[in-house]
Amino acid sequence: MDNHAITTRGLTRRFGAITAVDSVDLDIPRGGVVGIVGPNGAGKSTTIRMLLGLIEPTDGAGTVFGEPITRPKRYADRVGALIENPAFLPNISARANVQSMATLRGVPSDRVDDVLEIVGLSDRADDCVSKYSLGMKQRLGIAIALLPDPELLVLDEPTNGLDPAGIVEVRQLLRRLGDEGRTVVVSSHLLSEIEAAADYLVVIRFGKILFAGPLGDLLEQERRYVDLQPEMESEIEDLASVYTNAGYDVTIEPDTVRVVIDPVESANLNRLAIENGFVLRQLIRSNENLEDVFLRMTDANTEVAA
Amino acid sequence: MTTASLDKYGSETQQNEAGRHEMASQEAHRNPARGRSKKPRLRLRATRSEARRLNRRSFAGVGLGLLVFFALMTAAITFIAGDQMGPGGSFGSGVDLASPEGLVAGLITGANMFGIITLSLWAAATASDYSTGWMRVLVQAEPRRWRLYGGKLAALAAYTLVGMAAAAVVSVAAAPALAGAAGISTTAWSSGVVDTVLSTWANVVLSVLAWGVIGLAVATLTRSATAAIAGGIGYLMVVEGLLGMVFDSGVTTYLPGSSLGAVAAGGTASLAYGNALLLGLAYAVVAILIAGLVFARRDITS
Repeated sequence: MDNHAITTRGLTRRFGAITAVDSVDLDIPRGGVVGIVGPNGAGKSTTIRMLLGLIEPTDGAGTVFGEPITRPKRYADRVGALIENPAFLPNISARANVQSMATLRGVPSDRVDDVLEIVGLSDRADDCVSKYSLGMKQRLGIAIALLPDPELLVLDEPTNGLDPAGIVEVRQLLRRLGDEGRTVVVSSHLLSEIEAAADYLVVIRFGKILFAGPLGDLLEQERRYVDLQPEMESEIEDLASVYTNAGYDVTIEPDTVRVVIDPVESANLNRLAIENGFVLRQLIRSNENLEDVFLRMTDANTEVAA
Repeated sequence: MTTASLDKYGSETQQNEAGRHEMASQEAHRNPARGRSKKPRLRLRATRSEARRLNRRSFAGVGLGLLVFFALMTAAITFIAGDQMGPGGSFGSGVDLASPEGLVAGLITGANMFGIITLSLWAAATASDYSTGWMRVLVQAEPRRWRLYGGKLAALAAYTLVGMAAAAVVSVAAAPALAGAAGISTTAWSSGVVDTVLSTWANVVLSVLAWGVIGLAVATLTRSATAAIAGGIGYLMVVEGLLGMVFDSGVTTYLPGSSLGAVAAGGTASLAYGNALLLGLAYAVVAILIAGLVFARRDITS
């Protein structure tokens, strides 16, 4: 049995001159929570829509549970999805919306109550959806996605519009579903939303995969660095040149020169500054966090694209 | 192109063009029978699911209310105004109101109005699936788009049959009183009532269903209820009228409004019933196929 829930090779989608998804290769494992993260317009939703059979790839191929994505009917019963904003008929109750989808999927009626219970909407199930808050609609969308008791749950930006407590609830729900052995693919433009729940991470930017792998692998890419501040602000560029010429990885941040280096070697940086006539006002040893890694990866890609 | 990928928890593998071709080949040779549904009631599921949505008060209530209201109104106009000239031409069905067909003259008079209402309802039901985003939920749950489409057609047709049955009941029930008020003799109405009512109802329903299909097709193409409704009403009220003024009746007889009107009336002097039926069927089939093909092939991006 293929141990991947999702596999793609060279998956590409162009809209006219714009390449929304560019030769994406993925091997997403079965089970657990998979985060797809990238800025708005990165290609997350287009990738998800191709996987769900809503749009056709321009090029490349992919499979879901070993079935080609050009034949979504073969896996539709095993997949539940919430794509972008939750969609409902606003003038009927939440229960009627879910029941309508249950009828289409051939799901028993008692499952309707089950999924409404799971997302905490049982008490308001008979209210008209037009009276729902955005957060409640988001939960209702997740309820509809859970109807077929899916092996693969795909949630596109599921925390949009949720308050902090709602975000935590959804995160816990995703974690629980992932721990039950389902594959939960969740996309977001905010890494902070993903990193708390995900086992596996896909970072996408301008339609290209920047990183795909276990979250731990990304954590290993966290860099340690030293921020140095010369006595005179006007000396920043000259100080940066000193370290660049010495072969260090240097960036100029506001008011500081950042040198990527194991902080235990910070004495060498101090020595080099003194030898070149600079007096350091401050020398701070720091570590990147995951957000910094993500921003560095996506920013670097922006520079390449520009 | 060589690309790196990571399998679960980390071992890096190299994928190249050969791997990509292998996947494409597997996809091409996969047993197509495996994908066939083992669920014989699936088509019915799509219909029942659509019927559930149509059954909401805001849609069913408004739709049925409009059909019944216009059935009553056109019956009243038919009997009260008779064949007087109105702003859009003569009122009336063209039938002798004292003949047995007089009982259903209101239905025939209102056929195009019922058609416009049905076009609007079908267009609204179709376009709202796009405007609410519900379409992406539907297609993800049931990727066999022809089944979804067939389910929608069947549910809308059933809904229209019910609505037109209600309209016919109201129109026929009101006819004797309206005829009495207009001083029209109804003694001839008692012969062959059932046949007259059923055949007229069937003709009007066929005409109205064709309008509905046209509404569904335009809404599918434009993904907008407003465009479909404005286009349908504008065409029937303005475009076909203007064409009638420019060209002779030999051309305009075969346009949708005229031909579907002829179906509802059981044939007219310029278009025999059989020809009208064939023409109406052709319009409906073309509309169904165009909308179906577009729906089956189009990306769901909204």
